[in-house]
Amino acid sequence: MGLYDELINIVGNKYCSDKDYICVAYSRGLDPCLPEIIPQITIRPESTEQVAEIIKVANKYNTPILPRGGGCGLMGGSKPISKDTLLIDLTRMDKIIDIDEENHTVTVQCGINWSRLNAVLFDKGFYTGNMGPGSGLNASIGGGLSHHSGGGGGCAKYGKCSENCIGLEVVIGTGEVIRLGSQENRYVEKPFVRLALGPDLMGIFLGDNGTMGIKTTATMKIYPKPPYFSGKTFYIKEQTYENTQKIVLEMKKKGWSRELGIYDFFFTPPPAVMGITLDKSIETWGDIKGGVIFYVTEAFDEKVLERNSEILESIAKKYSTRELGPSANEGNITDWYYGEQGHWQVYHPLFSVCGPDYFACTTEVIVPVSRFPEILYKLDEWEEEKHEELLDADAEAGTSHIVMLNHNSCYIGSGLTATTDEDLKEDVISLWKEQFELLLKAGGVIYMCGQIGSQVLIDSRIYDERFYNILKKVKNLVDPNNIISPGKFRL
Amino acid sequence: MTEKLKRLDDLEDRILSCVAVGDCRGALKGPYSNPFLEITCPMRDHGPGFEAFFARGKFTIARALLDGKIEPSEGLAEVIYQCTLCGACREVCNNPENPCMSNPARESIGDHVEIWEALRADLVDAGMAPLGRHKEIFAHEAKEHNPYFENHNDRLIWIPKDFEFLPKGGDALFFVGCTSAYRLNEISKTFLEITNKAGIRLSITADEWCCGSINLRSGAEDLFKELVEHNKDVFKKADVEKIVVTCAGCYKTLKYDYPKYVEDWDFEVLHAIELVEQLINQGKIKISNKIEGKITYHDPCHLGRHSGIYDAPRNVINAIKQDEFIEMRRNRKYSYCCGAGGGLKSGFPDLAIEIAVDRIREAEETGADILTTTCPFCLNNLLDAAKEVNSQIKVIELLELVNQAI
Repeated sequence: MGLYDELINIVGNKYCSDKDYICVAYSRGLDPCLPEIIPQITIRPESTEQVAEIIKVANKYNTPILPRGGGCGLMGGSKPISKDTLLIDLTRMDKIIDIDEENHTVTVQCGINWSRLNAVLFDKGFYTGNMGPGSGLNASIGGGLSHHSGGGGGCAKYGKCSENCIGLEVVIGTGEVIRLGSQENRYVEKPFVRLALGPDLMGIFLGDNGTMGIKTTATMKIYPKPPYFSGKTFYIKEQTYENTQKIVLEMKKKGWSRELGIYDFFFTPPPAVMGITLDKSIETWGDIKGGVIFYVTEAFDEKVLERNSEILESIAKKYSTRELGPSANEGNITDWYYGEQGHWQVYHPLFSVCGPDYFACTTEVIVPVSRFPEILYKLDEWEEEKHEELLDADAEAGTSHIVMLNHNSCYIGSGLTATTDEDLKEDVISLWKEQFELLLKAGGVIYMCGQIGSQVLIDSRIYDERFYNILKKVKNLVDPNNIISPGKFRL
Repeated sequence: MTEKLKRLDDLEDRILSCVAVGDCRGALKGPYSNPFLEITCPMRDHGPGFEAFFARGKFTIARALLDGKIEPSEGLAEVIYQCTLCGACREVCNNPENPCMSNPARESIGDHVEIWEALRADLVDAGMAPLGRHKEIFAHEAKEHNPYFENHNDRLIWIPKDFEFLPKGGDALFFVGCTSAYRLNEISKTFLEITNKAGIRLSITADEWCCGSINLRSGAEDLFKELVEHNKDVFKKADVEKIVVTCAGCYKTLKYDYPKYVEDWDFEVLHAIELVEQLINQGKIKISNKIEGKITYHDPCHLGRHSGIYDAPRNVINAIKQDEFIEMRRNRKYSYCCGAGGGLKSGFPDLAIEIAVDRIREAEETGADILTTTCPFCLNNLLDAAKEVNSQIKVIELLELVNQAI
């Protein structure tokens, strides 16, 4: 009996395939130019036990494994790196195991997507706070936790999604199943807290980009969803970086989300606004030239909301040119996104604004709020400096959004828009790596790394060597045969 | 790219426009507080659920074929034909309800179903399709011009002997269609009764052949062209301006596909339910016996999503109902497919019923007593599914309800 037969014994014929026409569909992520390699086998387990069995078999045949959730990775994280990859499609593991309304937790299989989970929670008056990545409604909880994702809503109040994870079940590279968080205590029936019982080993598996183990079950904090909200959109014509920073710093001084209920705060810089208005992607913005900010505040009490909205508005008005709104028809897009939809899944439609065959090579980094204007200027300078090379590679550089996080930082959604043209891919990848390097050396930190980001960290010697040595040792401990996502972080 | 993939090659720009976010796989759409869609593609929960069965995976497959990364194969055809061509993937592509922002990817891709049909046609040209059962059907159709293994000459035997119809002319030509002619005759008989009562004069011709929907959907374009060529001549000889049909599949095919293949196509194509709505509005049909019981309605994909006819059946239901009309959770353009379309009923009958059972369950969830629709093909599959799970909901053609109400 060979690898394939043993795998079929685990999940049955129906959920395992080595056919090229099945496996080829997993060769693709959202980036346009990292190699599209067809995995040798694709398998769809339905339980933790099956995942554990699969890993044991993979060990036996020394076969690399790649876990894949919604397949929404922007940096090649869900694309095989080698042809002998056994791809584990985890989307069949999409059950909600428990919603604990008293203790405010939800336990799910990690293949469930953020949208379905939140729809169920909304029905009970709750939400996950951070609504997952901005990677479409199809992104999975497991993928989000593997990348410290954010952007789908709630980052200003709740931070990255992994900050809200309090329980994790992981199958490590040996096929052993471990539970992290309060369930490290074998007498704890249900997860309820992360930080206890000694060192926080859960952190090894959060943001690991699928290298340390396969997340099968997660317990997330859930929060009662406030019934009242107010969202505003403002146009800032000049000195947009500085003025946005002033707005954010002043709002932070006055209490940010803790006091003012800020749930989300986005900044779209001038070049992105120009792209949007030229393409009429958001027609209600007309032909404005400058930056745009939009924020949402929420509250449990109408009067509190009114008070907070006034404070926020007075700050925003001080540094902005004019309000776009208050209605959606006048350019205030918050009512629809937060109010109607409950999330901020705004990005992907924008990826294709340049037409067919052009997609995003993203280089998102987190920086302190105090430094984001400086980093944005560096990006602008880099774009100018690389003008000819970008032109030759048929690529455009830019920053589409800056999203404020819950404490002192924000993430910058920068990158390239590039063609899938085979002949230009190498040039594009080279520019993509250069931009990563620029941002990392400027003091930014990447959170979703995928293939390319995780490799730049090593190739450009970004990691402190002592840290990287420890990382390798940890990897060796949890995955001694290095079969889970080999190649990422050059592991 | 090989010559065998000519149609895909022509559509390359549209294929490359897929951004691959994968909402077509089954993302939730609409407000989280009131989602109108949790599952888009009927293949999400039926079948093995690999990416290859969803739109995103199929776009990747199409790209891989064009790039020569994979070759056409019979196995691939098995996957590509496990799709009802319902078009739900297009409707949910890239957050379509967004009033704030336009969606270039979605607009560039256009109609997903056209791409799936092209892929099937290219697989036929490559000798990898149609599937076995479809081949048998097409062989019979080439001879007898219907997919039901019946004789062409029996096409009109359902018409009551004492019923007088025009051989040509009149207010419209009634294109009966194969399902109404050979299987669910009650639909066509009912339609004749309704139009008779309203004083509408219909012509019917024994010369009509299958509209060709199943051929076009299954990639048998050559046979489709033969059927079109013949029917076009029949329509011209019928001396009418209007063609009326009871089948949603015939409707889409005659209204939207024939004009692509016939240069001087100038017939007005009406679905029977549109005509009935007109007749009610004009007072030519009097509702005297309103239908008791809660009613829910299933939008046939060919009539709804593909043709935009959502209001006419609902207006008719509202005119004939005594009690409540309740929408199913997924309705109008987000309606869930009955599972019969795209050759699935003939190619994968068990799968087609499995999907229809989902729809029956959804109809039951509304608390309705009656599930109605206005397509014989949907009706047939929903009836099969209701029988399969012993459902108490009454599944009935809307025209039959109308006739009862008159």
